[in-house]
Amino acid sequence: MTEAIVCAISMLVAYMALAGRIAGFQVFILCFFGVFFYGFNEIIIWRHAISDTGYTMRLFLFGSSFGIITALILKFKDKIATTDTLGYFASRHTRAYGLIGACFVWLFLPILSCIGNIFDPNTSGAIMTYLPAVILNLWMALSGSCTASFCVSILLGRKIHPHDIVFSSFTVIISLISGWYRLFRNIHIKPRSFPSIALRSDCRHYCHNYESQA
Amino acid sequence: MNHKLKKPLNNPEVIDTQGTIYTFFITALIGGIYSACLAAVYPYGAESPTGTNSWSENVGLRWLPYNRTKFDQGGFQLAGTFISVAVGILSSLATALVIYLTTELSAEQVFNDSTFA
Repeated sequence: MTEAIVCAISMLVAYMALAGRIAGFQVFILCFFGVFFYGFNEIIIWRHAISDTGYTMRLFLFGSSFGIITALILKFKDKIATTDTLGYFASRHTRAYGLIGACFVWLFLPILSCIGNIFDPNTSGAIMTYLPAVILNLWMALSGSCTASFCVSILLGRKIHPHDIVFSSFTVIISLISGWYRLFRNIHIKPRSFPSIALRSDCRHYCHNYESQA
Repeated sequence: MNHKLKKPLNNPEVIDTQGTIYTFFITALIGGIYSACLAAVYPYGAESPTGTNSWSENVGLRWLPYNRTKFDQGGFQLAGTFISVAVGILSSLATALVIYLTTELSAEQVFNDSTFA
């Protein structure tokens, strides 16, 4: 069941690079091939005893490379809508939704790093026996990343961009869950901060679509 | 870096890949390399009494599978990182070929929801 959830998230990551340019049938094709190759990649990882407890290789790396190369191949010859709207910035609503999504990331994604040991199958009833320290470490890392994002935004842009928090949360969480959760649990790694990355063009793309539809 | 790469990535054909590149690909690549470094520097089980691993049941206090050294395991971690990228590229080639042959969307139709209704 866990692998099915992770595979579905992997397909979602791949679809993020193709959102807006493929229809339902193409999404079906994407998932049809994607699930097969996800299983192929998982077998390789498992057979060679490569530790990927945080599902970084199987989920994020595979899904993102899958989506990026597919998007590059499916490029269109004509100019597209966002080419003419480079000066457009995200609306306040989009940023608010991004912050809500960041809250979801804070709560949900640390689970990926310990999804295998929340339930201890050796105990009767497979009940949760303890809260892995990796979750606390990841929340500390997220706090450090957001603090650094605030500082960098103020230093470079002279104001705070909410989407800096959003994408710094994504950045730090995926980087950190890639490590071995046991190593994090034992080493008690200190919070790390990564450079803030603002992806305004994506928000701009969706906003333009929203306005064109309206 | 984001501003320097924004325009070449978005013009003229490729769009909406920045989120996937920056949010997922770059960070996962960093994480894969990071896990390889951790595997190389993490002590053996005999050297660390608090070190636990599911593989330790088979090989005593060693936390590495198949009697690998920690540098071997680091190499495998790095190899697994790039294997995942290679499998992703391979799958995208197969998928994009099928989609390319079965899709006739023009630039005007791409962002029109009524097309997909």
